[in-house]
Amino acid sequence: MAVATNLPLSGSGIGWRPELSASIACLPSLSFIEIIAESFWHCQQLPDPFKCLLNRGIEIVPHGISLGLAGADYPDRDHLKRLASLAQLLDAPCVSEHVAFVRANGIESGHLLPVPRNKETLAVLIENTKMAMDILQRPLALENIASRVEPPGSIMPEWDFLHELVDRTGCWLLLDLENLHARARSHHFNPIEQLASFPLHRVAYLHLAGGIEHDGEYHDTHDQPVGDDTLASLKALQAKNPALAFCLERDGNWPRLRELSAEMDRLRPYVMVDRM
Amino acid sequence: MTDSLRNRLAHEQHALLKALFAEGACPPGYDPHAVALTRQSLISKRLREVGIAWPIFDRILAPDWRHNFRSFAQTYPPAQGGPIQDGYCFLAYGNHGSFTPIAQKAMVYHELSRSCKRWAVVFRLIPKFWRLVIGLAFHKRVIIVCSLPW
Repeated sequence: MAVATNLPLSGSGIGWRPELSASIACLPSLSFIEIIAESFWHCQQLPDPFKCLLNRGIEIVPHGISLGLAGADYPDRDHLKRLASLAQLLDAPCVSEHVAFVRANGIESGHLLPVPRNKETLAVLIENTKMAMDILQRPLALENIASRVEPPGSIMPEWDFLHELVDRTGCWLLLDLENLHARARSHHFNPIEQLASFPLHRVAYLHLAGGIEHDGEYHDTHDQPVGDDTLASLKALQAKNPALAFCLERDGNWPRLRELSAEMDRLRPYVMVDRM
Repeated sequence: MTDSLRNRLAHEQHALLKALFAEGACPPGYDPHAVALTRQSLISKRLREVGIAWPIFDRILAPDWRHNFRSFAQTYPPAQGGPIQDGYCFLAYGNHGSFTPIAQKAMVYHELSRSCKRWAVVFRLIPKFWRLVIGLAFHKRVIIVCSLPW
C-alpha cells in the first residue's frame, strides 16, 4: 500500500464542543482540534479559546455538517464561501465534510443520509466535490457516514466508491472508524477485513468515537469511550499506516478532564508521529 | 451534464426524506425496518439537540414536553436553521400555530440568555406564521409586553 507523504495533519486531535472547552484547554500533547464549521459562520474574529489553542501551535480544522455534497443540488456557493472564509480565518490545514445528502426538494434532514453507491451518484458527487474544492482552495477531506438504511441501486462497495471519489477529485478521506463499525454491524461485514480496500493512501485523518448497544441494535451515539471493536480497527490500521492522525469525537455524556485525558492517552500510542 | 441524473436523485432523496420525516411510505427497495429504526433515532437526536439548544424548556414547559416534541417530530421535518429554529417551530406547533403565554416566555428567556440586555425582542418566521413578541426581564422574571401576528 502506498503511504501518503503530504498528510494535512499529524498526531492526535479532538472534536471541540463548548461543553469540553475548559477540558480541551488543559489537554497536553494535542496537535489539532476540529470545530463544527456552521457554529462559527458569523465570527469576524477568532473566539478567545481558539486564539489560545493556536498560540500553543494547535491547528484547527473546520468540519462541515450541512453542505450535502452527495445531494442532488449543486452545492450552495454562499455556503462554500463562508466555509472558505472560516478556513482562512483559522489558517486551517484542511476542511472536512461528509459523503452524504442532507436535503431534497425543500425538506431538511438535519442529519447525514446515504446515497446509492453507483456510477450515476458518483458523477454528481464528483462534480459537486470539484466545485467545492475550487472555492475552498485548501485540502478537502470527506467522511464516510454510518447508516442503517441501504439505498436501492447501491452496486459498488463503499470502499470502491470512495476510491473512485478520491482518485477522480484529488480530495482526501476522513475515515471514521466508528461509523465504519456501525455500518458493519448493520450490514453484516467485517470492518477489519475491508480496511485494506479503502483508499488508505488518501486518508487525511481518522475519527474515533464510541456508541452503545440497545435492544440488539448498535447506535453510534458518539457519547461513549471508544469501544473495543473500533479500537481493533485502529490497531489494524496502525499496522498498515502508523502516521495517521486521529480525532476523538464526543457529542454527549460529557467526560471530566481526567476521563478525557485518560481516553486520549489510551488512543495516543496508536499514533507514532506525534507533536509533543 | 449531470442534470438528468440530478433530477432522478432528487426524486429518490425526497422520497426517503418523506418516509423519515413526514409519515410518507417507505420507498421501494428500502428495508422498512431499517427506515423505521432510522426514523426513531433521528427523532431522538432532534430531541437531544433541541434540549441542549433550549435549556429553558426543562425549567418552564410542562414536564412532558419531550413526549410532546416526539409527537411534533413525527410529522414535521427539522426546521432549516438547526435546533434553535426547531425549538421555535415546536413552540408554535404546541398551540396550533400560535404561541401560548408560556411559549412566549420561553422564547424571550431564550433570547435573553443570548444577550446581556434586560429586554428582548423576538421576531421569528415560523413556517406560514410570523409573530412579533417583545418581552422585558426584571429580577429573572419575564413580562411579555407585546405579542402580535405580523
